[in-house]
Amino acid sequence: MATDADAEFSALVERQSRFAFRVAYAVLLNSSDAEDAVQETFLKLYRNRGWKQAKNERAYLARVVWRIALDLKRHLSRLSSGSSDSIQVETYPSGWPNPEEELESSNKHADVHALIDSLSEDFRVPLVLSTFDELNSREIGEILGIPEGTVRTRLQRARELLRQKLISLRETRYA
Amino acid sequence: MPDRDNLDEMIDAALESYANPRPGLERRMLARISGGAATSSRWRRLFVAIAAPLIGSLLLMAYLAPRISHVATTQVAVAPTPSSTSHVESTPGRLPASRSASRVHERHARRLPDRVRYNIVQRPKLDIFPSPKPLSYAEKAVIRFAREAPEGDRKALVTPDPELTEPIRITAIHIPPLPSSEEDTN
Repeated sequence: MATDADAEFSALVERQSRFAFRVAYAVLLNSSDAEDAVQETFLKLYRNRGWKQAKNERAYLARVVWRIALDLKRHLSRLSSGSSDSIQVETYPSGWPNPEEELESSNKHADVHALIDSLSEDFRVPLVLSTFDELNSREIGEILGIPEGTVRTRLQRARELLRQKLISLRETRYA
Repeated sequence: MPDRDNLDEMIDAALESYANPRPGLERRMLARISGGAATSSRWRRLFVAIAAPLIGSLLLMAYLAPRISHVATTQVAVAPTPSSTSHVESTPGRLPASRSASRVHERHARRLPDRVRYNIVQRPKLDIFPSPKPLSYAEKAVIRFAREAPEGDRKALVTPDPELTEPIRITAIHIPPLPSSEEDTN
């Protein structure tokens, strides 16, 4: 990557990789699959240089990575349903400690992460996208192809569901 | 509602740390993308290496094919010797009787390359076999003589010469005996 365009692209990757990963993870709920989706996204962007024409770089990137993640999810579900003896890749929900994280004794948000993972995709993806300050309800709606009002409703509903689940979790724990 | 506020804070804090990738994501992405881009460019180079000569040769063939066939037909027209002629006339006895047979001939002719393509001319099948041939010069002369010559000459031509028809008489050969050897010695 020696040219100016390549340097620009490297800067984009440095700038947006984590964001793209979060979007992909919100759909796929698997770190390695999410990385594959991010890689596919950046390869696509590298080939067509589409991000240069985008008005909102982050929204454009989110739309691309979301679509690629959805395609990958469909593909993976077809594979898993097609072959019963396929190798099962061990997945770790965001909040659940994997072998690396297990060493870290304190994971304060593990319960909430697990609850976010348990939300349906319609609620989970807008919720994850809304955590980034630059993306408002209108932009999230454009990315997901839904009206702005629907985004707001889904965000409220997602938060409400999380609250209810957390309360019931606490009640069962401290009962 | 202190409990609700506490829950909201908890959710917000959890969302901030939700889906955090493993450290070094950017470096991994750049490495994988440059690897993927190199692979795709390698495939592109391979494709170009195969496709370019193929397309070039096809274009060359398309350019040269009409010229070659034109040269071939010209050569045939200049030198129509029996061995190299492009026109082969099929004999009436060998003509295909059905239409399907003629189609086979056409297909066969189409399959041959331009350089050796024959133009098969079909002639109608004749009722008389063998086919009538024009009279020779001697035959025509005899007919003219029979029409124009006086009757005596015509009869003389038809009537055989008695001298020629009579059998040849050969006189007996007489060989006198040779004198004996005793008379010679005496």
